[in-house]
Amino acid sequence: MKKSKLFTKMMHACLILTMLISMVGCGKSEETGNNNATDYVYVPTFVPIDIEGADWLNDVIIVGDELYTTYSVFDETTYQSEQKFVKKNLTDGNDFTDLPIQVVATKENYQSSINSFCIDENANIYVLGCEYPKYDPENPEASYVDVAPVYAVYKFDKEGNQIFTSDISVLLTKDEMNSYVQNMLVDKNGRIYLSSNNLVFVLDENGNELCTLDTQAEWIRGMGMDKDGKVYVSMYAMDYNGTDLVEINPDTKALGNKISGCPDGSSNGNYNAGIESGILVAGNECLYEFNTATGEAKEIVDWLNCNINGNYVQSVRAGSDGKLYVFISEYNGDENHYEMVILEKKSSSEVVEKEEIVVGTLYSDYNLQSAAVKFNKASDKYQVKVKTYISDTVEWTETTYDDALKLFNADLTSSNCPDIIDLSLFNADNLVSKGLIEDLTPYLDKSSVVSKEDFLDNVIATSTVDGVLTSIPTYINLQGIIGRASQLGDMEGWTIDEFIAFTEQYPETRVFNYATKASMLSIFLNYSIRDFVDYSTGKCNFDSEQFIKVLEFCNRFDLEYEYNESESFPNMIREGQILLADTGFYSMQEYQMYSLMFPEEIKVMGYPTTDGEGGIKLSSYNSYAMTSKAQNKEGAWAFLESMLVYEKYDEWNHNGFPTRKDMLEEMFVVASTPEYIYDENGEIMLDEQGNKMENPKTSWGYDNWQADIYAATKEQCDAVRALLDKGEMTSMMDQGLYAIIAEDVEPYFQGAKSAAEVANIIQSRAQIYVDENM
Amino acid sequence: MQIYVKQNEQACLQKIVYINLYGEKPFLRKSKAAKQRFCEGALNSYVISKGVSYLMKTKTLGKERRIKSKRMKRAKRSSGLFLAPSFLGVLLFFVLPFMVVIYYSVVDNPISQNFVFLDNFKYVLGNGAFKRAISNTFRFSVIAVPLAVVLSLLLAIVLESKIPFKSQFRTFFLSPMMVPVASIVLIWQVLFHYNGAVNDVLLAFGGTRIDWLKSEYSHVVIVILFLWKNLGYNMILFMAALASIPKDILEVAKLESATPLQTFFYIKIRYLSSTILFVTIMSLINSFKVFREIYLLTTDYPYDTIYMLQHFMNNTFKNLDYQKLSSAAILMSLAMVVIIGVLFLVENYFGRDVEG
Repeated sequence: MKKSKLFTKMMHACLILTMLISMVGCGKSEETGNNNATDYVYVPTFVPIDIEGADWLNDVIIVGDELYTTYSVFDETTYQSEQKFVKKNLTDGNDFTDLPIQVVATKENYQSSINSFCIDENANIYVLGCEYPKYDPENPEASYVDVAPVYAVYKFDKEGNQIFTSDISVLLTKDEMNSYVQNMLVDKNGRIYLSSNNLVFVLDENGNELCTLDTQAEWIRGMGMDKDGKVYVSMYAMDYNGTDLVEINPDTKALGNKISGCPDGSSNGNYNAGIESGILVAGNECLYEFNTATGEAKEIVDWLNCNINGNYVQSVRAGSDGKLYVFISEYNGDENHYEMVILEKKSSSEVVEKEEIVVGTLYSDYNLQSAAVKFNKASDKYQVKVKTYISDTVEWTETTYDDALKLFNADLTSSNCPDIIDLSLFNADNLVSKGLIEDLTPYLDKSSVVSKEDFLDNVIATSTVDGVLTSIPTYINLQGIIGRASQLGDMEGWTIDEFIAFTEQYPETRVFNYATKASMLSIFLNYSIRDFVDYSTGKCNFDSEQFIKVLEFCNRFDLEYEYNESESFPNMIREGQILLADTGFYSMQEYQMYSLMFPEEIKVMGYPTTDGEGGIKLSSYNSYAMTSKAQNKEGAWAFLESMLVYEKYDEWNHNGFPTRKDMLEEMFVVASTPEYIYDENGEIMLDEQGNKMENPKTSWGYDNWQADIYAATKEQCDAVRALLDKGEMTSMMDQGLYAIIAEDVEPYFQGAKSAAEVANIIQSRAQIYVDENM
Repeated sequence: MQIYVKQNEQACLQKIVYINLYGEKPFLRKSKAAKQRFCEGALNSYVISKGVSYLMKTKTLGKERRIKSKRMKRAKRSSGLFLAPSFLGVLLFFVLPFMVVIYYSVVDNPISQNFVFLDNFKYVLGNGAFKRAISNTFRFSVIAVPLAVVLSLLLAIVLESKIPFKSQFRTFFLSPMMVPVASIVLIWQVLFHYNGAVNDVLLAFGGTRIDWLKSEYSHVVIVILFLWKNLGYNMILFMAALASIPKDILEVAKLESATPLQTFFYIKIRYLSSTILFVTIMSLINSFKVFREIYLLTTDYPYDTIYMLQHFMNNTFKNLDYQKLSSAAILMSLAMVVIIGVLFLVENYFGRDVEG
């Protein structure tokens, strides 16, 4: 009896203990390996790589304290490119020194270049050189004769003395598709690996062919050596967002099994050995250590914590001293900037902690990361952290976006609410009605660097919802319909009926290029969708005669457009075979391009509306809103403000029109300032008529048509300025309605239902939608 | 006169109520249990006296005597410990969230949290989408629930009788329970799509195509889908309840020359009353859950006749309209409480002479 009682008590105790343990387990956070979650942090030191005259830097390799790289200098007079191999000691502060490594062309009228290089652990340098015919500016056609290039592998010691050279032309010219070497590396036994399109060539320590392995891949992503010295080739995974690795075994001359789960990286395709195991993979947001034995990826560094834009990372190497060497190449639209970032592990207590500002967005955005890095570097007080709801390692499925958005929504109303959110993902009206958005007006009023008046009035107006200035987008584009001014006459806008009537005047002319039933519907509803809803009563009119008329007009077009390669859109426009062009403008140059493409003066109209007013559509970018639950509103505003401040237009690196008036005007000035051709004395050259010879700013091509873009005229600038003034931004609610219409109209376009039937269904569903949102 | 009494395990005094099967006024008699024959739980025995059948109802009269022994105290403590996780679970996952819902329903939004008292309820009650959702859900429940109860009862009775292929029929009606919702929806899409099998049959017989899912007919499709999905489960419950009706009562009824209809309405229905209540409540709950199938068939904005309350809630949740959602949820729960309360009253009325 006593035994039984004891047993019962023990059972009770065990059960209670189990329950308690499981409850404790509920709140335990998983250790991610992120430097935030541990007691150390990586502290960055930025070492600029400025090599005078260097147009392009290849990969940078660190061996010991030495940094090796190659660069090229292009001579515009001879049209020849010269390559140099240099090294720099990272500790002594001295500048780059040239190494006597050169690939000399062996044939007459041939030039040579360094395609790839790699360095072994003893600092021996392996170079893949290529010889090809010289470019002759006097006779350019002759430069493109079909002559096979000569490929050779060279080995140099660390001082640049050549050890051997091996001609591998036969190997690389066997298959035209596999003649270009993407990646090159050398293993611990001195064996050289070259990867091309889908082949891997393995050479022995003397540069002779050991084997050629076919990966059966469509495209080799990269190649790398892990901590254990095993060499892997990577390929884009077909079934998830990442890459698959396959081991190259030169002893068996075969490929190993596929290892899945490796994140995709932003790097140039060269993987280097991990810190503890596997390989390092530089993602857009983080640096991962991928364990090749277990197939698991561990997050090592969050790039933004180290003030690095992950999109710019070219390669990462782990030094034997525990430091990480990150090579960064940043292109600002004009030139490349190179930087080496040395990440050193330090105890968290040694680092001054900054206040964190969290920006919530779905996935890593190039512009946002750049802005965050710029702000973080400049601020001693705040550190911007980007919280992405779709990680760059997440597999994209049909529901990925929806699931991420649901999680984001849940965070907005919980204690996890980010300080700043990407407003382009949400319906601003909805968030404002929930009190989720902080009004930026008081912050803007207090700001000493920007004011409300600095921005385009209509941008501020359409970004203001119920008196709440939700965000200030940094750039916009505009969309409209272009036609010949002579045909469009004095019309400033058009109603749906006027648009239909206009097109019916030209029955033999195609209305738009590639116009389909669906695209026409999109054009009609872009602006007039709200006209079919009476928001004062909440009554929809999608079963009205007017809407049915729109559907019937759209139904005149093709269901699908068959692309014809022989057709040229510019030619058809010029020959009057196409009446209008539905297009978006991202810069002055696009407006100029269309002005040149049309054979006469152009006119940009808005999309058809019920009252014939407006219709020019503006799309905003970089719209970030401060949440009313932001923990640190001052810091959040400081970041938002930093995105709105550009000292000069040269810093502008966005594909769109600036929303700041001064920047926009500067853009017009830049666009309308001619660039001239100068002679050897620095004087502007004159043509036969004595006019200054203007240099084209750029060239734009469309199908087989090409045009040089010169300085914009005042009329062109005024026209674009007027369009930007007239434009309006559409809200997310319209998108919801449009989705219902687009889905239900399909059976009519397919010929399965009548226009009245689908209009009735649209009315039924749209009415619910509108009622819910009233 | 033979008296069969439920065995009194704890030696409590019992009140014995004799009820004439044909509705005569019951009489009371006090007795201490003696005989061993009894039915498990609160089921009744019956007595036969002078050719008249009686039902005997037992009720505990006195309060259960507390035995304040150490053993009982320990038992209570340990039972409390065992109950605690469930209690905490209910508190954490049901009671507290419901409190939060009540709170959200009286504030303007979850962020500024200004108290607005009944404004959200007024707004929701005046909202066109909510009214349509209420109307559709009510119409669906009024049609589908009685059909589900009656048809499943009929099926149970048919399968109780001696017909060939009984087990095959049972399996056939139970099979929808084993099929995942996504597959069911796929089957329904194949059948009721505009270019689906049903329309092909209609065309073959000279009819015209019907847009089953985007017209007034969509309601019919959803009712059929609901019945197809739920009949099997309800049928099993009824079959179990039918099997538990004491055979001797049915035999007595037969001896008393009761017709099958009289047996059905005066005996079986009364014995089935608690099961009918249970099946009705379950069907009612399931009728609210038909949203899942509708959503998969027609997404979040269906044709207006099949726009249900849960569509409204789902869409308002997606729009972060938590205050609207909370108000609607409270109104819905109040309606459910009233409906279930009425059902209990009905069951008590019809099943008052049968302890369930």
